[in-house]
Amino acid sequence: MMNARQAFDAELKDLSDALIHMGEMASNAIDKAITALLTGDKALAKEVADDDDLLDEMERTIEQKCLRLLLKQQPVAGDLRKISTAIKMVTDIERIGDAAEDIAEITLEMTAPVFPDILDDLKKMTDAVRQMVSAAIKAYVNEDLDLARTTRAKDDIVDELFEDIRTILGEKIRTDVTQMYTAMDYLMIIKYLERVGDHAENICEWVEFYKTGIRKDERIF
Amino acid sequence: MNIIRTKDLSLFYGSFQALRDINLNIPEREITALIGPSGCGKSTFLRTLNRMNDLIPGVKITGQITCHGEDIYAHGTDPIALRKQVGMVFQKPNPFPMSIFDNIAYGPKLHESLSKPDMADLVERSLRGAALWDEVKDRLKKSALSLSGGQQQRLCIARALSVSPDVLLMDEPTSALDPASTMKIEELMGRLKQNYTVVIVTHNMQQAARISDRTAFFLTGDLVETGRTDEVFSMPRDKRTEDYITGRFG
Repeated sequence: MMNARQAFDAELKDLSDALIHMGEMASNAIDKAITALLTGDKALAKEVADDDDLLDEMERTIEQKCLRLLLKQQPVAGDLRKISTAIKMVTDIERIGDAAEDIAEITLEMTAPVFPDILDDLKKMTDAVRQMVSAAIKAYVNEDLDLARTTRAKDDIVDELFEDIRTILGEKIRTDVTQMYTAMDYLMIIKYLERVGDHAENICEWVEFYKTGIRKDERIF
Repeated sequence: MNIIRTKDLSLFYGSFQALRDINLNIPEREITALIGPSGCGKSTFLRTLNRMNDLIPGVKITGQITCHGEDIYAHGTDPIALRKQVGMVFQKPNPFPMSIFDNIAYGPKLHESLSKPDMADLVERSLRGAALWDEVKDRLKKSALSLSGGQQQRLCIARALSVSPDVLLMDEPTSALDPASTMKIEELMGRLKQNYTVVIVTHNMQQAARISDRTAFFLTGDLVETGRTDEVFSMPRDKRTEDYITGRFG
């Protein structure tokens, strides 16, 4: 029979496993949404859109686990940091899932192929976002502070690409009004991608907090 | 400003060393919580601060403790005067078997002679200071033993306040009380620190986290870690502190 501390440790492990599983699912979702977008694969886009319910369900389960642990254990020190990290991270992971779903839904409605003049930057942006999400989850799994910090810094690249593509799309709308709606779809897509980068950055910040007690260069307690 | 400082303080019960080279400063008008598993030396340490251990045969103390810069173990220091300055409240409320009024008046009578109205003022101030006045003002002549456990403990705090101490030592002051009485004492401690320095021994981690400004963690006679309570309970520096406060031992 487990003692109380062992039982608590088992619950923390369970929480961590659930978060890792959800993180991997969200990472896959964004990966698939991007692939569907770039290849025009509507079946894949439909799969991403349908799977978001699973992520929503996982978010609720993880939130409940966290709140129950707060109630029962009144955690301190590493336990407190771990549970508060989970409770914050789960929202960012779920939002990544939402962005994947939104991108997939736009993909489903799209008829025109990607504008050739944004294709390069869009690929760069999607690659950077994919890497950020998978690295953020990996940083959490391995409690890897260095990876969390280097990944955080990559958000600037995503932001720059967002600005570059936005400028091209703005120009398109200005010069050719027939392409306005397609350009607006892409504007939304790059905004979703940019937000995914932000969520990955948030996850990294929470990993940093878990390891150091410091978030965004500020001591929380 | 540190009101109490200890320097390389060690204490032996016969051949057993209960405290080992403790260097701890107690800041004025803050609450310092002493935590650690049973037998770690925290209560022993608390009792050294007003020389309560003098009464135990075979105790030897080395190192130094100063209060307001004065060595409290120096030759010529009067332990009675020290205990007036550094008052104490114990785990189990221990009112004297006399009236509520006389419980409070007992200490001041030892130190000074006051007129009746002045004594009545002092009793009222002390009871107000311990947030008990409103509950007992109509029955000051009744036996203190008629009070509830929580009221008795606040009476003991009022009794300690009656001799105008600078420091209040509290040895698990709420461990014998129900949650409502505990909350009242905790609220009171928050108010007391505006005028007094409080050092509390507690086994209740949440209590230490809630009420104290600084926390000191003792283990087998050593002071393992001390720091701001928020830091000790969120990001302890020493793994032994983490293991203790998260229930991995003790």
